[in-house]
Amino acid sequence: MTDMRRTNELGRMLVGVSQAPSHLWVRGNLPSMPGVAIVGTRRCTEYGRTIARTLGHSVASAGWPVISGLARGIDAAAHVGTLDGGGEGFAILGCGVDVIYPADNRGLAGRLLENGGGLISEYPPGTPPAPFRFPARNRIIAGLSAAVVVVEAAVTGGALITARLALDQGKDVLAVPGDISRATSEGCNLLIRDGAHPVLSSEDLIESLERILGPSPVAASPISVSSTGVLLDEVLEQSDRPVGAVLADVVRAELAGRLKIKDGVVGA
Amino acid sequence: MVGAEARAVRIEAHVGRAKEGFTVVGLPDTSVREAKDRVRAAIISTGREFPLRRVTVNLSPANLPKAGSDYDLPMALGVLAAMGDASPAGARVVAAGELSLDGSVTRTRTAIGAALLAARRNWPCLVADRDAAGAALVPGAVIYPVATLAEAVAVIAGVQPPREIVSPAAQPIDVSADLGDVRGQPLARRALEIAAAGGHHLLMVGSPGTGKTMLAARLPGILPPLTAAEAVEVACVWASADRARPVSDQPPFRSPHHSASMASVVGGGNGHPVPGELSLAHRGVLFMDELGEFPPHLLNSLRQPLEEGRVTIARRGSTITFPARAQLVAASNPCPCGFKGDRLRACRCGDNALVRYRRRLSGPFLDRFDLRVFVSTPDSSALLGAPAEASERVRERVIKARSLQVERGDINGRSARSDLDRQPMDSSAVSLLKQAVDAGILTGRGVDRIRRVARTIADLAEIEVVGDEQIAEALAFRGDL
Repeated sequence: MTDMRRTNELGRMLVGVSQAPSHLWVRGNLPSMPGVAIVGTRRCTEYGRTIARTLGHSVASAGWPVISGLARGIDAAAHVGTLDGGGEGFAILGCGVDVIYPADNRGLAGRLLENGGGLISEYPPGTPPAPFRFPARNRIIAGLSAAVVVVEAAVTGGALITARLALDQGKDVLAVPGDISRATSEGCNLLIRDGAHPVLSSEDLIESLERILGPSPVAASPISVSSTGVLLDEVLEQSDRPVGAVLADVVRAELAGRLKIKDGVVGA
Repeated sequence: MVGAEARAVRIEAHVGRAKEGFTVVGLPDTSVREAKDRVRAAIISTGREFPLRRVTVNLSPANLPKAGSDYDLPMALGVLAAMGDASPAGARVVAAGELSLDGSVTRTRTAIGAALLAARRNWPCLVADRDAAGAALVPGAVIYPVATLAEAVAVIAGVQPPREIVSPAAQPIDVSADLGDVRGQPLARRALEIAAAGGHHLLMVGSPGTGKTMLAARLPGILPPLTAAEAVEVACVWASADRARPVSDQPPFRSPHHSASMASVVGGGNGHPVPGELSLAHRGVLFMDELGEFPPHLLNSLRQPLEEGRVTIARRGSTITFPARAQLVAASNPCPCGFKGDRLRACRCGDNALVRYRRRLSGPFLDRFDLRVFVSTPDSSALLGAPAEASERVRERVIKARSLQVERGDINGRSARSDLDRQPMDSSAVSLLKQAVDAGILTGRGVDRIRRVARTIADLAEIEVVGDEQIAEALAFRGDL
């Protein structure tokens, strides 16, 4: 574990967090901007798992970092979706960054690291998991996120704590509606009743996020697209990044339906 | 030479008792039959008498048609041996060259082929001075350059040691066509680099004057240099077209005009079949400007050779094959007037004309192009900007990417679906491809193209498993024509 380090680089993001830690322990990278948290219950249904994965994919494709807790169930599905979407996923742990709990998700943690994401914890390396540490790390999840999406949650549970902490920090909360007869949907439906944005589809989520956070990083990065269009060559010239990387971004934005490439011109 | 393949011809000479005469048998064409007079004059020039008896020369195998003047030298040597006058009797050599009346050996057009045959037999090979350096490139060939018939006799007899070959200075890559001269055009430059790295056929669409020809001409400069064996192959093809090409490790670049005949592009012709431009571009680049102006039947006849890497010409009694592993670069205007999509000038084409034009540019032939790129008019700031990356640097990356492909098998531009299926792709790459097909921007046939290109992009980045980043970039070159 040579790549562990202690950092205070995220101090600014953690400003609204109660009892914010002065330093965080990190393996891999740190999010370059506030991300989108996708959280939910560990005892999820197949429906919740599918939705979490789909939403993780969409958010990652749009270019926002995806933040979750590496727990079983919804958290893990959201991380997997992030990897599918080729995005950067960050897991906030309730134990040391070298301890990784639950152990089933060690492989997933490794893939997050390989794909430009990171593992983050306020606890020093070697700290074992303990029940009280998980609710506490939820305030870091909320702190590093610009918005929190709750996929499936019962009325009691960590996900709702995260949502409440996010609201306390002045951040937006979105929730996926579910069966009113199912306990694991109660928390989400409750949040919607209390004013959370309901998430009706992937596209709806991205639209809501863009309303809240501004244009998605992918849409924003290859310069804003006017209705008359701009030459793809110009887009490439104005970026300092490698041609291939910019092209990949433009194509992803096209697939997400945000722009069109025709005859060498990028248009809206 | 049969096609680009050298065949050995054994020369038998007989000096008989009958009255004076000189006959050549074994399907000689006019140029071979005329050798009689050159051979006679050359022998006399060495100070010997030409026998006043019946001289018969047989070219074996007798059923193979012979053409060209390279039989002069071996015929003269054969006659001398039959006269018992010179010592070459019993010596085994491969000899080829045209004789002049004064006995000098002027040229050996089939020098490379002769050297290949000689190397296979472990015999020495006699060729004209000026063609010796090229022939010496053939691995394992022992080349004796000879300036005159007398020298050839002396060398074979061992009276005179063979001369050293003066090898010409290596031909440097033509620096006049450097990628550094191309300002702006980052998209097309990238396409060119990927095309070079994977050997993909490239289609460039853009208005006149956007630099498509300039870009295409810079492709050979970023291709890996030819290996010695490849340089020999190329030289063989050029020799069979009776064209002089300085032996060089630079891949050839051919650019036939759209009014060129089928025979000159694909190969064939009346009488002795010659390789076409496609074969002259073997191991190099065939550039077809104004692709839409080429007759459709010509384009269709290119399809099979491109796939097989060789042109087969059927003739009465025989088929002749020329190699044709050329990389195709085509350029086309986006519409009949040329200015569709141009940001400065307006397109004047009607809808019907556009549809007709696009139809010409579609179909199975276009499927050969893995990479399609729209070339736009660079703006003034790009034209005046700093020089771009030079060919040399790009070529280093291309060579590295190619070596990865060679380790796996063939280059990506030639890989079939079964090869692709062996190439790993991660789950994000698969889901992105699926997304592209679902969104309707990619057809089933397009998927293989994208996978090939993505594999090359990964090779350029020295990445083992193709990911969504590579697929996404490859999709930028899908060209929705």
